[in-house]
Order: sequence, then structure tokens, then C-alpha cells
Amino acid sequence: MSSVGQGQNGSRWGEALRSGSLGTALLFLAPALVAVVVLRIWPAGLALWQSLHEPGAAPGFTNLGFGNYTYLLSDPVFIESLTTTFLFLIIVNPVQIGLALLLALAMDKALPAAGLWRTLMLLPVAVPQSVSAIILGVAFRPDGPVNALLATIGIPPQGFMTSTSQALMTIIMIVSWVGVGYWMTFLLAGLRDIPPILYEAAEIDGANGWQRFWHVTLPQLRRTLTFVLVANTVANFLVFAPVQILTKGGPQGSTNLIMNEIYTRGFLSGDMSGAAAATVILVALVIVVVGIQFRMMTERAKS
Amino acid sequence: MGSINKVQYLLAGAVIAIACSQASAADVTIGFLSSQKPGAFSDVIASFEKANPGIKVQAQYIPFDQLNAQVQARLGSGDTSVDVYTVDEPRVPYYAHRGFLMDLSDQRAEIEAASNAAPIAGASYDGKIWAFPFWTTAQFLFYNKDLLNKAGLPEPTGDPAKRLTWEELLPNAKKAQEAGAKWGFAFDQNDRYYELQPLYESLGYGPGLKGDKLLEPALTSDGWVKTTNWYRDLYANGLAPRGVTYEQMPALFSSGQLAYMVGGVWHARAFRNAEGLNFGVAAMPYFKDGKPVTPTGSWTIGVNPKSTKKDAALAFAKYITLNSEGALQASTVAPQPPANKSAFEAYLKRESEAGKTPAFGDIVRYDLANTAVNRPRTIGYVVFEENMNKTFSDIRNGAEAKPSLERAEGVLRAGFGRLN
Amino acid sequence: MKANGPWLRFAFVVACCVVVMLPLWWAAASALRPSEEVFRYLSPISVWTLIPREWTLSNFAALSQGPFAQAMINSALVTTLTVVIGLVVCSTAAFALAVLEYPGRGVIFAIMVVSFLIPFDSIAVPLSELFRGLQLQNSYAGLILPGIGNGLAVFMLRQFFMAIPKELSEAAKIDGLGWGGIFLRIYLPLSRPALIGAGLILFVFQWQAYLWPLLIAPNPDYHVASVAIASFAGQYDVDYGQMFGGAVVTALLPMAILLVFQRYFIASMASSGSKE
Repeated sequence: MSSVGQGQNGSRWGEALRSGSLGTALLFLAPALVAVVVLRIWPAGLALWQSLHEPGAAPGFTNLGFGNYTYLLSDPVFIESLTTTFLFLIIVNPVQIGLALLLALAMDKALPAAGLWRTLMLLPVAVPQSVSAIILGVAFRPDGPVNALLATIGIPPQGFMTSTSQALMTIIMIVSWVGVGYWMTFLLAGLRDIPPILYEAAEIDGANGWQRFWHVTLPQLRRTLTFVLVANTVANFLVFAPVQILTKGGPQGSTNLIMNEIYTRGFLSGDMSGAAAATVILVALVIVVVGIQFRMMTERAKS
Repeated sequence: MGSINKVQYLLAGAVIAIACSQASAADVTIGFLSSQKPGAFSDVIASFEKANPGIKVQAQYIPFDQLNAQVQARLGSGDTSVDVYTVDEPRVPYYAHRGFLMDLSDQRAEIEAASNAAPIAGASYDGKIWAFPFWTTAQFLFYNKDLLNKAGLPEPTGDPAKRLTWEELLPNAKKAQEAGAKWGFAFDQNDRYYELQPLYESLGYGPGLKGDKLLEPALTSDGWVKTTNWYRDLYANGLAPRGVTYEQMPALFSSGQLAYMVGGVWHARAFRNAEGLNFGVAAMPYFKDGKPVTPTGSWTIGVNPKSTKKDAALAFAKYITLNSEGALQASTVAPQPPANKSAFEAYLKRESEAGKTPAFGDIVRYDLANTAVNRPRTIGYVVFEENMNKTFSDIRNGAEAKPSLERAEGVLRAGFGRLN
Repeated sequence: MKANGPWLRFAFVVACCVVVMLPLWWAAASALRPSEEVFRYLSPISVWTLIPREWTLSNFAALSQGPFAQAMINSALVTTLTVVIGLVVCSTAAFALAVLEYPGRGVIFAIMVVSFLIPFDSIAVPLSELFRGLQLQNSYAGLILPGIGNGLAVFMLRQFFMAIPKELSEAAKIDGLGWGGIFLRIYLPLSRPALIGAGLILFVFQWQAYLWPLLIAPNPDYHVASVAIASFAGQYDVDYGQMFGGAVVTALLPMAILLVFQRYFIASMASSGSKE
């Protein structure tokens, strides 16, 4: 697409005009494009602009600089929140997508009361995060029901959110409680779109269940999986409510995910330009990570 | 508020006719932002509107933990739909510094005539008054009579001059726990600087900040570390529960699982209503080697300097603070002691006679006059509190005192450096 | 799969559902208790952890009379409109990005992708200034607008549209169908599961919205459910009974809708036969 020459470009305009697709495209694109540019890109541009000014400085062209960025990148708390976020992502993405895929596969075939189970799995997304975090926070209280349950099978009480080594895992369990059913729904829809004839052909070829999964299901599910992987990664980059409500980033910074860090800076400490710079760094990181994922998923398709 | 736009109008018609609540054109409507529960101020607003025809108050309620964020976001971006709002006393300096508060120095005579001295100090900074003193606070040592009886322990006296020392209280809390209480003792705001500052001040170790602008952290002195370890041991020894948030702490006491709790006087009302709870109140303990110190400071009422309806905003702010009837009615909300002198006395009388807490008035009056210490008056307080609460939370959950305090000092220095 | 395969599968599904439902069940049970009982039976585990020992409907009675009822109506209205308008806006854009050919398509697609990589909460403050300037504060439009242009939904629908064979639309063109007709008659009917997925994305964004409604609609007449529920948390205590009751009510409405929509997931099987 990038190597299109001048002449070719002209003919593409002409072709688009002739087929009437240009006008249609404008008409079809306009509402979404306006919404996205005005409601996302433009305010993000403002944040970028603000991030180039020292805290409290009046916006202008004369006092631009990268002071906020050099400050952030030398601040151990910020760096720690970045590493915590990556650790979180490396664990939470495979856990959620793996479980969601397993569940989707289990629900893809006939099951008694199938609709009920699918609905129940999806139900947590309908509960406001501010409440589900509190409910699960009570469950994981050191004197709470999860420890009581563990006690009945002889496991000593765990620290969960009060322990530096377990707090991040607890947050992962809490966000997965919502996430697994949600992503399962998309994967299930993707599975439903695989033509049954492909399975029949594989069966005739004598493929066993595992081979059918590997050679039919996975390749056919690639588009859906790409979507789920990308969307889930973005969602997990932006996890915020459970952290803010339950741990405020603690104990000792062990759950200080990047969004909590941005919120603390901007909204609590009033350092809006620092928060803006952190947001810009976050968006840049998400673009890089998502770009890598796209590339991986499309290359796998080619090979 | 502005005119209702078309889309809104259509939708409103489709669902419910909201239009009936519209004010007439001559009325001024002011926005009042607070973090009390929705509807909390309805009664006092109704009284105000009756006494001040032509002014309508539109109450905006924000969940408590969102208030600071909302103030930063909305006043910081020049929103004029907030005319009056509740301001936490220790945040007055920072908000004044950021230009979120109108200078009320020309109201000084009226404020001083109507309000008690301590809350006026809490509303002042840099020699000026920035907000109307609204409420004040004090603490009790709540105790569960049944749990104490079970352990054969005497009830603490309600006389604030003969309060317990921590050295006397903790062994008793342990006994109560051995006799069946799930937990012996806890602070209700278990990791908030507000309730823990007195521990350090009682022994003369200072508030944790120094310098003439109070923008230098001083958290790692031997005294601070020693006292922090005392606090840490409460949880490490299992006397107090880890991982219970402060919002869930009163429920722990009211459901009979906690023998002693240091907590705000406002809990008394809810505890009176809790079925089967047999409790009493005493004054907050202090260290044997130190002097009695108790926390204080509550809400004030600030006016947005960018408000386009300042007169109406001032009228409402004065009504709920300086007017004794308005102030008393507003004090039923939390319920916290009003800063207003005559409402304060009426409040103490009402709470002392409400049952189960005859010592209410004696303790609050004594503590506010003799032992109450304000939080540090500095523009760095917002950053300070945020980090202190996190640090206490870490320590409560088992982090070592000294490294945690050192870490907090580093974070505070960086944070203070971003103030401008 | 061997003979015990289906049973194993069923057991796994049910076990997952039980794990997911337990916290909600506990919240529902707690909403039916008197308030001082909420945390009484947490540990050790007993039947009373999950079943109220004393029953009361007082929390739900209080909910129905308080501001929560209006907030629930607001949430339902705002979310429904977001999903309906959002589906139109996003599906047309996805069609233009997947099917039509014109220069600059790649750039526009990139803009769409970048838009959902931007954390909405951290751009909410400058956006709220713009909305206030446009008099959109305390209005349904102010609540709905940020939800309708959803880059993720566009992305998802585009992925799906690209999988629909081009021959179908070429054949339709020969039959004299315009782009609009191709979109309405061919692409939309084939895309039910994707539309449901996109609807889900739009729904969750709006139903879960919290920071934005607080910023832009502080007037209690325009509170949405998530805000009303969070408001049961006070400075010193929380009304857990009403909070959990509100959470249960908030979850039940979408549950009813989801149960109805389940059959479309199954219906999509039949339609997928016409592809490839």
C-alpha cells in the first residue's frame, strides 16, 4: 500500500470515483470518523500538547520541552509501574484467553441448557466494576470466605491482597472473573462460523480430535483470535477500577498498574502534565505491543 | 443550569417528564458539590430555599473517594457549574494555592462570631480564611460491653481526664480476644494518616513534615520508626485484622466481632441502631510517656472563585455554617459536630441524650479544647496524605517500618518537587 | 471424544459457572440480609454464608424509592441508544473499511485502531471541557456521544466483513444492487454474530462507564446506575445492603436480554453455511 506511485494513485482515485465507492465510503465513514476524531484523537492530541509543558505552565510554543518525560523515565515509581504492568500482561493474557478458549470449545457442542451457561458466564460484565471489585475484595479478605474455604481442605490462610507476592495474582483472578466469560463469547461466535464441512473432511482424512483442533479450528479461528488477543491486551493495559478500589497500587507498589499510576498523578496529586506525559507513553507502548501482535498473527497465517 | 437541548427534550419526553422540576426564569440556581450520600442535604436545602426565595440549590453528590479527583478535574478546567462545595480542611491550602477557593477574609468578623476557633484554623491558610468552617471531628474509644464482660474486664471510664493509656488498653484487648472476641482492638480508619498522626504527636515526634512550608518529609527519625513499629505490631500480632478496609471496619464492630475500636464519634448513631449491640464510649487512649493527643478536622464549605452567582453561593454557604439553625440541621447529615458554636452545644446535647452514650458531650468538648491537633497546613498535604495512607497500609500488611518510611520519603520528595 | 467426554465437558462448564456465580450469589444473599448481618458469616464457611439467616426486603424497598430507580432508567436508556446508534455508525464505517476501495483507506483504518488504544479515562478531562462548552453537561447526549464511535467495534466488524467472500457482492452488483443495498441485504444479514459482538462491546463500554458520567452529568437527574451504586459508599461507612442489591438489579436486566439473544448465536450456525 505504501509503495503506490503517483500515476497509480491518480488512477485509484478515478477508479474509486467511477465505481461510486468514494462517495459511499465518505457517507459511510463520516459519522464514525467524526466521532472518533473529535472524541478520542483530538483530546489525546491535547494531552500530548500538555505533556510538553512543565506542570502549571501556560500552554504555548515558546516553552515546549521534554521535561515531563525525562522526569518520568527517571522516577523509580513510574518505572516500577511499567514493569508491573508488563508482568501483569504476560500472565493475565494467556490465562484469560486460554480459559476463554477452553470454555468456548466446551460450549461449542451441544450441551443441556447451553444458553443458560453462556449467559451466566457473561453476567459479570453487567455488574459495575466498582461493585464487583468490592464483592471480590471481600471474598479475598484474609478473614474472608476464600480463606475459610481453603481452611476446610487444610490449606493455611493466604495473604492475597495484603501480600506483595500474591496481590497481583489476586487482581488477575478478579479481572479474569469478568474477562473470561466476555472473551469466551467472541471466541464462541468465531467457532460457530467455522463451516462444519471442514471438520467432516478432516474426519474422513482420519484426523483425531487434537489434530482437528490444530489443523482446522485454530487456523479458522485466527481472525477471531487476533481480535480477542488485541482487544484483551488493550483492555488489560487499561485495567484500573479493581486496583483503585482494592489496593491503590499496594502493597509496596506490587499492583501499581500504569492506569492507577496515571490516575494517582493526575487526579489525586494534581500533576496533570505529568499524567499527560504518562498517558502518551502508555499509548505509545500499546501501539508497539499491538503492532507486534498483529505482525505475529498475520505471519503465522502465511507460514 | 442552561437551557434544555432538543435531544434531551425528546428523550425526557420518551421516558419520564422531568420538566416539572424546572425552576422559573427569575430564580438563580447554584450547584453544590459534596461527597455525602445522595439526598443527604435535601432537608437543609429545602429550609434554605424556603428562607431565601429566588435561590435554588442543585445538589451534586459524588462518591467520597472521587471527590478530590472531581474537584481537581472540574475546578481545574474552569467548570462553573460548581458554585459551592465541601472541602476537606487539610486540603484548604492546596486548593487555595491552585485558585479553587474564593478568599473569604472580608467575612472574617462574621465567621469568628459564629464558629469555634479550631475549625476556623482549619479553614485558614497564609493568614487568610478560604472556607466557611462547617463540621469538626473527634474520636472515641468504642468498646463492646458484652465482649468485655465475657473476659471479666472493667468498662473504661467516660471521664476524658482519666483516659486509658495504650499500655493499659492493649493487654485488655488481648484478654478480650482470648475470651472469644474475634479481634481485640482496631483503628476504624486503619491506614489513614488522620487517625494515626496522634500516635506520633502524643510522643512529641512531630507530624512527619518539617521546614517552614512543611514540604520536607521527616519520617525516619528513631521516634517515628519506633511508633510505626508499635502500629505494625497490632497487626503482626493478630490483635487487629489485616486486609479489612476502613469502610468495612464499623461493620466488624457492630456485628460484635471487635472488642475495642478507636473511631469517629459519628459512628455512635449507627451503633445505637445496630440490633443486639451493647456498647459504650470513652476517650481515645494515649502513650504513657506522652500526652493525650487526638485527631480533628473535618469539612469546610468553599466557594468557587469562578462562580457566576457568588452572592447566592455565599448565602447558601453561610446558611449551613454561620446560621445556627441551618448548621444544626446540616449536622444531622453525617452526623458530625458542627463548627457553629450554638449548633455545637445543641448537637452535643442531642447526642448525649440519644441513649447509650451519656459521655458523648463531655469527651468531645474536652478533646476539642485540650487534645485536638490539626493536620499539617501545607500545599503538599494532598500528596503527603495520599502517600502516607499507602505507606500505613503497606506496614499494616506486614512491610518493615523503616524501609517503608524511607521509600515514602523518596516518593514525597519527588511529589513535592512537582508542586508549583 | 470417548463416552465420558461430554460429561467431563459439562462438568467443566458447570464448575466454571459456579465459580463465576458464587460472588454474585453471595452479594444477592447479602442484599436480602439486615445490614449488620452482611459480614457476619464470612468465616468459617457455613450455610449462612450463602443463605440469609434473617430475610428482609428493606434494601430493595429503599432502592425502589431512592435515586437508584431513576439512575437505572437512565442507564437503560443511555445504553440502549448507544448500542443502537453505535451499531449503525460502526457497521457502516466497518463496511467502508473492509469492502470499498479508495485511496487513504489504510490511514483511516489506522486512525480507528489508534482510537481504541487511547485510554478514555485519561482524556476525559479535556473532553469534558469541550462538552461543557457545547452545553452538553447534564444531558443524555453528553452521556451517549462518547460511546457511539467505538474503534474496537469498527475493528471487530471489519475483521468479520473481510471474511465474507467478495464474489457475493460482485454478483449482487451485476444484479443491479448499489453499495447501500449490498451492505443492507448481504453484509448485515450474514453478520449477526459479529453484530452481537459489536453490540456487546458498545454495551459494556456504556454500562460500565463511571468516570465520564461523574464528570459530565453530576446532576442526580442524570446519574447512571454505576454512579448511583458507588454513591452508597460514604466517607466512613458503606451501605453494603443497598450497594449489593443495586448490583444485583443492575445485572438482572442485561441477563434477561442476554438470555433472549442467546438463540441468535445458534441461528448464526445456519447462516454460516452460505459462506465459502
